[in-house]
Amino acid sequence: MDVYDLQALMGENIEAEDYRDLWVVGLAVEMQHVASLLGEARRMADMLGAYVHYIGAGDSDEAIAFGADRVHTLAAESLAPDAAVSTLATFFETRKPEFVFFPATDIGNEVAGCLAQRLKGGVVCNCIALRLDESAREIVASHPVYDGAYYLDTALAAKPQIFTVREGAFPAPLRDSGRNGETEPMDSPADLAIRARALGEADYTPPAVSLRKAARVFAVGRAGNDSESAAIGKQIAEKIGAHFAGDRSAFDSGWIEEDQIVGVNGIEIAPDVYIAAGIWGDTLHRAGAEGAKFVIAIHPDKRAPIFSWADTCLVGKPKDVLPKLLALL
Amino acid sequence: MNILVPLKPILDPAGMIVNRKAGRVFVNRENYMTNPADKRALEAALRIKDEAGAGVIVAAFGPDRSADSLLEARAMGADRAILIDIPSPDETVSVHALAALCHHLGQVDLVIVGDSALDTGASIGPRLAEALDFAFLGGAVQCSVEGNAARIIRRGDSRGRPDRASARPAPAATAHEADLPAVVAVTREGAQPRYPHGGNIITAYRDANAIESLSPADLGLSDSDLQPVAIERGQSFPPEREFGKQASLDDIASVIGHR
Repeated sequence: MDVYDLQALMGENIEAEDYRDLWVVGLAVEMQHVASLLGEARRMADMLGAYVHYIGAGDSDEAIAFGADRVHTLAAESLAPDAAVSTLATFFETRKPEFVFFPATDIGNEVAGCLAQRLKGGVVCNCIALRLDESAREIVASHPVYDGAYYLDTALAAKPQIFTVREGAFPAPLRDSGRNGETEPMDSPADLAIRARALGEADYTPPAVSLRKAARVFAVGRAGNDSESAAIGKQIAEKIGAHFAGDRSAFDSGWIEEDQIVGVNGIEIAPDVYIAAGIWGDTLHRAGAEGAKFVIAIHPDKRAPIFSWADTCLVGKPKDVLPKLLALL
Repeated sequence: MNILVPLKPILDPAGMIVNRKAGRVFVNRENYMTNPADKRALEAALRIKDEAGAGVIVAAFGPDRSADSLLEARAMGADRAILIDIPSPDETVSVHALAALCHHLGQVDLVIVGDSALDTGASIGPRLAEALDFAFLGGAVQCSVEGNAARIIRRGDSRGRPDRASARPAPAATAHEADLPAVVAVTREGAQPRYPHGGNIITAYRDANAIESLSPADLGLSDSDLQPVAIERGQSFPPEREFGKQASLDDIASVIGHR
């Protein structure tokens, strides 16, 4: 029996104009990410007295265990962006969702945007937090602006309210394998308007980025390092897609070139992640690297000044630590 | 062929300080610049103009802030600059107005947008494609026109680095195409925008008719089209950075993988 039939039996008034329920759309995304959306939708649905629907090609029992009341299964070929938009738009025109959650992947953002336009709703992309106001029946979404310098809180004045949510925004939900739910296959419209054609792999080499503008930097210094561990550091840098650099002492030891010195007397950097292994981190070095958004420091001496401006610290000799780190990555 | 590139002026982040502790954004210098992704979109359009020949039209919302962006685009090589007289529209209103502008101009075959605005959202491309009923190609780092189709190259991973620091290599770049008319969204990794020639900057600023102005009425927009959907409810801030936190090697490996 359909949940809508059930509501009718229980004498609840169903108006066709009513927007209702929370919908989670999983688009070929790892279940872990989708599960956290389902968990959050479940929590909000309990506050609102609504149902949680899940649309996806994945495992329906999993979705029910993580909080879905009803699973609409979709053929995997309907999950390409163009096809997903027509399928979902046709489906939602009759079902009228109140809130829709997508995972914030490139495809998720694309489908959510198209859907919002077609259903005349509102959309907020790349949310990192959602706050439900039950009385106003609206969600205030926080989404990062200026590369995450701060978050903008946005509410939507139109329904359906569509949100794409970043991975890790919500805690992992409890899995309850005893939950009950229903599964129904969803039809896709016969005529899928697919206009974007994939042409396969392309020959493209991204333009070289200078150390100054690098997104990730791995730097070595002389403390607790030898030329062998510096070479391992270089391997780690390659493996994680980081630029290899060092401080003045690493240059003096001949491990790096002059244009790889980080500090005011070398290159000033502002990467997303800065990893420093065996760097003391005095004022001159700090001034050149402090623009980093996240700093990881490894140094044998726990009094090293770098620990006072590093987000994550490990006291240890890089020549012992780096081989283990390389193995872990 | 005509290419429309919408430009969005945003507050220059160099002129502002975000204080997480005070929970405020302090703007020291109210300076506006063109959204970086939009500038890459303009460069993509100008390259198509250089290779295949096309009319490049830039559009921005005004009345203030946008003039410099538009004049800079004219100096870089845009053929027409249009200022739409709607002050700071949200994404919904922008999409309505840009779709109306396309109909007003007629014969717009390709719209190239920046895939995200630094100060707001990331859905203008798909929404505009839907509103115009054009094909959509997102995440482009390169864009060209081959015959009657737009062709793009999309990076395998939008952040351009190996996935999750695991053994999985970063997927290869892929090519995609769609018949015109189409909307293409260019990322901030697109081609480096050119510097305008000094003489062109002077010409653009001296030309009183460099910017054409259009009102919502000219575009046939009704009041309901101008009703914003996104309502700002303030700002929130990431937690303050804590320094000196000890971690194990496993923690470090997972942090590197996630950032």
